[in-house]
Amino acid sequence: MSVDQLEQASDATLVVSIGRYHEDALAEVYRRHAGAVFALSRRLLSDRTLAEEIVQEVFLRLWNDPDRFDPQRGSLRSYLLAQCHGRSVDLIRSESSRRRREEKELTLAAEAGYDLEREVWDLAVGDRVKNALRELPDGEREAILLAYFGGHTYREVADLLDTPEGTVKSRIRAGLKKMRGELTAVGIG
Amino acid sequence: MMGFSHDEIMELLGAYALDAVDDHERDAIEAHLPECPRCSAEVADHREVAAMLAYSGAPAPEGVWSKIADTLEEPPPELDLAGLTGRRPAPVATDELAQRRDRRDRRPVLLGAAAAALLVVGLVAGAFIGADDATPSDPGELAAASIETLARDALNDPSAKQVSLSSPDDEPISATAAVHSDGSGFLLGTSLPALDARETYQLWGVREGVVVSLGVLGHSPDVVAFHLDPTTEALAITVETAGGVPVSNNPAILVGTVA
Repeated sequence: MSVDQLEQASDATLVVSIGRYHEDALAEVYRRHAGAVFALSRRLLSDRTLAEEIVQEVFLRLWNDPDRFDPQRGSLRSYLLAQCHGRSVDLIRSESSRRRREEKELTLAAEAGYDLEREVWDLAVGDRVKNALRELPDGEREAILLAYFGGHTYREVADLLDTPEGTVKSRIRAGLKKMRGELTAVGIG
Repeated sequence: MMGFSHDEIMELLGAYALDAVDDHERDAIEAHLPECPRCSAEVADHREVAAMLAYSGAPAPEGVWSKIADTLEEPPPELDLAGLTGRRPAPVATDELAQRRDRRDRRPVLLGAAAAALLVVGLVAGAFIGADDATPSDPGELAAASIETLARDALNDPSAKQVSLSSPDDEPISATAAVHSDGSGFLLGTSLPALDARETYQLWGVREGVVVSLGVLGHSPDVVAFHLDPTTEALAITVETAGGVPVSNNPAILVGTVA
């Protein structure tokens, strides 16, 4: 494919080309999505070097196993970010219990002033995504952010927020559904 | 579902999409998803929302692409074909040789894109009849005899493309195929040893780097008819579990270019 064709190709087309060992297709996917993958990983791990390793791993995995991406099940961007998130969370959870305790204490200490707004604004997300998040009930928003950006399981979130586990998992699911509805209604997603 | 009800699984889907479940819960959900389109769709929706939360207009990190590019594997089918068409690689340094040998070990693995499985439908239009499936005195025997005649004719037809399949590992096995210009082809005279009944030989075509199944040959093939796209560049044979596979992860035991 020429440069123009690459730039105009859909993500799904690029993945098919990757399956045919077209390196320039992978380069185009990297150009489109590596920034988001890197930003998410760096946010989760607070470590630039580790985040770069995650980026490398995510794109090599796409190169080696493009069939794992199914365009019928969502966008390439969400697929890559899910890979990045899963791997980053694995790293967070593989660290020593010392760090986990420290993290928990830190979060608990900051609980009253846990700056959800800052968490959101730092993401550089679009206004509509921010609005959709802001409109969620506090409990749903907190649960989603602690799980997604804190790398916590819903059980840990329940502990952190002193809320029953069942309530937390329900809130996460309900909050995500509401956001999906909101965003779809305004033409996103 | 490892002790989880469907409702319990559904309640966990939001947390699962955010990687916020425990290992045993994740295992249960992942066992459930392939058989439940509704739950699969919900997880996909949740992940789209998560992707939007993670949205960032940040530029790609500098220097990482060059590290990725350095480690990309070369295209397997093309490298296979280079050896078979008589083109020899230039002499290389010992450690580079070792590197190439390492790659060669993985090279014949028939990796295909998702599109390959779709192309199978379009390309496998012909009949694939393994003569080993025919039993004496039944119509299958006649069909096999007829295919054998057609195959011999194709072999002797100067206008048909002749394909010699040989082992990339220099094993003493081979097969010959003849392909007419309309794409009808015959694989015959194989020296392939009979496999266990739970296994089968499978024939593949390679076109523009995409590997496409051309048919399941049975565990003891003799003469087989197939059909391929006229632009197919190479044929390969793998050993698979009986019934064949849409996409192979096994090494080719025989490969040959369509001259």
